[in-house]
Amino acid sequence: MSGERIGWFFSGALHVGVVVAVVLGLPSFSFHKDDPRPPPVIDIEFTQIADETTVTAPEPEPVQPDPEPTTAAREEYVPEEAAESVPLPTPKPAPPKKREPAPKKKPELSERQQLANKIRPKRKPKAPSKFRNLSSVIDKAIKKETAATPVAKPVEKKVTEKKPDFLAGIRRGKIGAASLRDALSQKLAGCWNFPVGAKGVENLSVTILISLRRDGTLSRSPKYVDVGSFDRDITLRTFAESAKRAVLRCGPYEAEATKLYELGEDSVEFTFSGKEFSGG
Amino acid sequence: MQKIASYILVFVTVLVGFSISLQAQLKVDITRGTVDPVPIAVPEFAPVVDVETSTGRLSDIGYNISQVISSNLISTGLFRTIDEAAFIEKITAANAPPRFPAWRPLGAQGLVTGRLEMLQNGNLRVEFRLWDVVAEVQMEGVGYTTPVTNWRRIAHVISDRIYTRLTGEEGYFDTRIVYIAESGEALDRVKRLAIMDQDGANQQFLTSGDYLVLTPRFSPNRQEITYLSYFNNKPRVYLFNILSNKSEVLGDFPNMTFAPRFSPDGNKVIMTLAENGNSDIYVMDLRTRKISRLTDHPGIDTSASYSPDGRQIVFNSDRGGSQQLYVMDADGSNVHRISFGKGRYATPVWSPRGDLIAFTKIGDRKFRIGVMRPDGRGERLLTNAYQDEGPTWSPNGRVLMFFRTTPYNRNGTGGKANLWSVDLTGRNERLVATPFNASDPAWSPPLPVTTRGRR
Repeated sequence: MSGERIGWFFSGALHVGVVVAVVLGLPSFSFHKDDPRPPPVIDIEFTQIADETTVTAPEPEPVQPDPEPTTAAREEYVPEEAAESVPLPTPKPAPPKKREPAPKKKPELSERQQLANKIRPKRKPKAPSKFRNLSSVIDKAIKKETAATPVAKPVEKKVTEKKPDFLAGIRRGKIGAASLRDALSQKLAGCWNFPVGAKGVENLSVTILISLRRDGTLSRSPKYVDVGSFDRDITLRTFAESAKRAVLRCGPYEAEATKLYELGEDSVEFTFSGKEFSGG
Repeated sequence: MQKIASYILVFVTVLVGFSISLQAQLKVDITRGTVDPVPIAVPEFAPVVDVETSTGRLSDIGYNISQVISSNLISTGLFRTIDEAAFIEKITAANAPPRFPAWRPLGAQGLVTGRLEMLQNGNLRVEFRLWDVVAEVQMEGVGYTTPVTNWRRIAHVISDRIYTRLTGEEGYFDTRIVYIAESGEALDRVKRLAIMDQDGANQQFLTSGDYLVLTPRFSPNRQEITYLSYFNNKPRVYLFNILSNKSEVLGDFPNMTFAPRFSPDGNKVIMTLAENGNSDIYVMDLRTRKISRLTDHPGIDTSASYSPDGRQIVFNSDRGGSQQLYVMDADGSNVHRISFGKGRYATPVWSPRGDLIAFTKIGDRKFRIGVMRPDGRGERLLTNAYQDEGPTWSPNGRVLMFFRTTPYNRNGTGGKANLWSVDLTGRNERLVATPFNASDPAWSPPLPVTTRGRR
């Protein structure tokens, strides 16, 4: 076979492969997309069970299980947009007002970061309260502290006057990425539910990739980085689905997207780990 | 030729480098989440045509099914249902997806919709669909055909499907509990074998109360129980098939000191027999009725329970000076102690999923239910009342049922036992309502459901 023929052969195979990947991989190319009917149901028939035994119990007085101890059911509703993230540094204002706010913003960023760093280790030991999300506690504490310390502002100003701007500028990239990572981690923690105590949950992990537009909306639907054995492992599948729901529920990521673009990036890779849900 | 190859190599390298630079990503680890119950909406199931059936109007059955499903899901402590007064969209029997934007503001992560139809052959057809409101996809869709009187079972089976789809674990709602129903005064207590659905519905007595019954145990893979009954003051072990309502005597065991319990394959029962005042563990093959001895020790060995793979047995023994838990191989070899905590340990039961052993811990003037791993590590107490004992596992190994006895008081009203359940976290503790006082529960495996025409 000549080199030209081999080239044609590979070229043809590659094209066919691309078309197949597009049709199978992209939902918008899938068949039945416009079919308004839901997918068909699975048919199941019951095995008949013997109705009664010899003696029947008298009519039970409290027929239904007592609803009193439904502590979980009476939990207060947790708002869907768990707006519990660490307040992100205010994004740099766009072209018109460049100079005025800039010096103020930088100390604000470092102050919040310091506060967050200070508070977290103190709060962690208090976590095991029932049905409370640690992140919300931390976030509330951060919010309270940031709100309650307006007095500190003059001090900040002095500090900025003293120190040259270039140091913060050098570190900003790393600090910005770290604070964004931290903020996203806390935000997602507030949106993510998974049953505590599922067998083997401590070993589960799933990675989801999202791409953001500048306005914080997702530019495409979240994608699993490695689907692995989703079809065979129902626990892993539900775990992955719960992670995806968390990503969707937490959006839009307005402030985070601005910061992300400032860092020159447009996508985030979330790795969800199930260790916390082991229930041990 | 080499020149072209080197050009291609450079081009590919540049392309790869460019694509890598385009895929700049921030990597974020999510190691925490919330343990709040997941909000789920379960609107009443809609009849295609609202007709009168032998068990009531179809619309009423649809409402009742949604209520049973809600109640089941709430009882797990993992879900909370959204008040139907908040619903924006009315779910109809039309074969169309829900309007997701109408459910998202309610905070619902899951939505269960259903439709009912009376078929021409008189059977009821119930279809349900589980929707992921956030991702806007159908997660599950199943149709059931059954006599209309089975509507409650359908609700349990649907609950199981939903639970499995949302947690990755098998459901346990379409199951039953056998227990000892106790009535009368303390000195004249009548004990009858009773059975009910796991949620306390469909209570029935299996024995009349003329003879004392004790320690019912379910077969792990058949709708069959063993129990001990004193007929004419002779302890006898009975096998009772729930589906056929037939019972048979397994044998007379005048020297039996503790309850028989099935092996995981249901072909053997393991029990404690006393000979010359010494209690040891024996196993009986149900097919040959042959009995073999597994332990031979001067101490009291009781409460044996198989691991789900049938290779090991956990039991309690006082051979070390106090009542502790021991594990041995199924042939009686390799006996080793696994409990070393303060207090005594009794009634160990191996979890159906194999990762934990439940027990009753006696100490600090209390009887409490706890779990530990089969190697004895990770001991946790799940309850903390005056007297909790006799744990039995749900078939998925997530929930334990036990009985709680109240302390005697000056009014003489204490000393009554009731059934309770608690999940593995210890946070979701619930009373299981029974018409009489109740003790010694045993959880059934899931009831059989035939699947046909799986598409």
